[in-house]
Amino acid sequence: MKRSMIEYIIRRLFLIVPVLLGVLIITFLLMFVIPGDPISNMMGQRANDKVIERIRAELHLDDPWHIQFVRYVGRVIKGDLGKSYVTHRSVTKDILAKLPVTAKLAFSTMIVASTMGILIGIIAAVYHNTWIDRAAMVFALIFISTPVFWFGLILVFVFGMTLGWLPISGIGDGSLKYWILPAITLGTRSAAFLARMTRSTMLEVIRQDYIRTAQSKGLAEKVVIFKHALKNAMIPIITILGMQFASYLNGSVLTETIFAIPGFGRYVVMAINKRDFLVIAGSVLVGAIIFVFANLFVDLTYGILDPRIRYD
Amino acid sequence: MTNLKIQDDKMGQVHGLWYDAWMRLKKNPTAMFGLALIIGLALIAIFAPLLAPYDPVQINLLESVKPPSKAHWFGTDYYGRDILSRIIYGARISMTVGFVVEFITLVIGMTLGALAGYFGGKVDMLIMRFTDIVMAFPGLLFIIAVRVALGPGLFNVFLAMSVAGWTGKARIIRSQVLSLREKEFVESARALGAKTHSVILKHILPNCMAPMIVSVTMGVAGAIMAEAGLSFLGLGVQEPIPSWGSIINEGLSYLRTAPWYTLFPGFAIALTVLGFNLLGDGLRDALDPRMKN
Repeated sequence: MKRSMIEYIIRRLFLIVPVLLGVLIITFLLMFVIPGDPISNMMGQRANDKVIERIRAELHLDDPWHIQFVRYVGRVIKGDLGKSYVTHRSVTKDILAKLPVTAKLAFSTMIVASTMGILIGIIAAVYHNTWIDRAAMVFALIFISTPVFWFGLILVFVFGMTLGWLPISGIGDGSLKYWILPAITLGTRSAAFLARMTRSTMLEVIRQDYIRTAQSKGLAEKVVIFKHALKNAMIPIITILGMQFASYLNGSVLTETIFAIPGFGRYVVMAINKRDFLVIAGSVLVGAIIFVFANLFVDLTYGILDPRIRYD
Repeated sequence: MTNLKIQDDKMGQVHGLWYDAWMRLKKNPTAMFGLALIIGLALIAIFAPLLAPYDPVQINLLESVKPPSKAHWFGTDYYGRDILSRIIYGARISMTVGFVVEFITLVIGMTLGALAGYFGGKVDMLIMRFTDIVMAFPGLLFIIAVRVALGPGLFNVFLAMSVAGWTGKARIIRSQVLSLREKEFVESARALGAKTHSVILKHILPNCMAPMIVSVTMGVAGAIMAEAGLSFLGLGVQEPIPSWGSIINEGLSYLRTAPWYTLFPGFAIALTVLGFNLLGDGLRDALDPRMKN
């Protein structure tokens, strides 16, 4: 690895610190300041004065807020996101246990989205301004406009309930068949974005001189498209892919609810239903941390794909 | 705005940017289809009381979960309420959320973006770091957390979605302002003694309108989609007010026996969002012809 790149990575890591601090301030405000009284919010109608007093003392809610904030940051740095008031379990441990399931969903989704999206995008670009191109783009826009959760329910109804081909609930023994419908649900909209992006970047690249040169040398069209054009179109595609991958964390909230997948998203939804606020705040914090590092990873990938990018 | 006048060679007439854009938009059939969809849905939302065959909140347990029929075209829900009527009234919620949230995010995004771009330096640094922080949150999760923190109510739905949604607009405006503030017409306005706020409001912001219109159109689509997601999770508007997302949520338990329950409200969401996306795509092509492939 070049020295300039290492320096860049270190500089980027430093730049993350103020962002993460800001994220902590916002989650702190969400947890302790905005809700007025977090306890009655958490407990709803069930709260009696004794319980409220005990929890207030436990959370040190009567301290000045800056002291509370320092204590909160200290706990988070140690990896302690508090305890759920419903299950009395450690939020950190629970999230760490759920994340691998969601990661598996995200990777299966990524496979569906990238193969479908990039392939359709290339086909549309190659057949630019023909009916194939137009049909591909109309379908892409239709899928971008379709709510993920509704599309998932249609898949459940058709392939699960009516045809009985695939399981529609849970992850069973974790085998492939349980991931197909969820990955298609979450991946199709993402594929549509990718297809549009791939098409427009490919169209830009195809107009470049070096592609014309490659074509006039008599290279096979396949070689020109996949070796010369696609390689150069890859950078914007990787950006979208990286951003989409991080967004699956959002999508997992809806998808895991529909398919009863015991991952991060469903964990959040269960917490919503039980007003388990520490779980929600902890999950948002973890989600933001994942987002920040996913962005960093995308930026760094550029350097590997395009040696022209300099890090100074 | 004189700098935007374009000489039309053939006719020898001078047309504005907006006129030319409108002419280009009119020639784009998919964009016009999108516009027609939006106008149609807006009319449905406005005239809901005249169009809906039934009262959308009237309970009739004898008619619980009935399939589509002559009396109830889209069937009935668990409480025997007419699903068609609920979808017609649901258009009000979706359209209101879409437009109100976009209006709020536009005001926040425009103010912060213009300040950052115009003043630069520390102001820019502070505003952009704050934008980075809000952008660091995964959108839907952030909206959920803010909405749960704020409690129920339509106003809190607006607020939660707006708090999360202004960042993209602030960034677009900032980059526009950065390039515009160096232009001659801005310099001459300043030289003539125009005050800062009038330079920003009268000379800079009107020239940022093109990308903002595209962003707002696409944004309405995004907001309608996000509201549907929130309502599906039970975090949108409260019962018995009909919202498309919450009808789908109720229909979930009847998917096997009564698929129409979830089918129709989903179509309504997809059609509305499609309308805004089609128009947004068309507007982008019309307002910036260089971007068109």
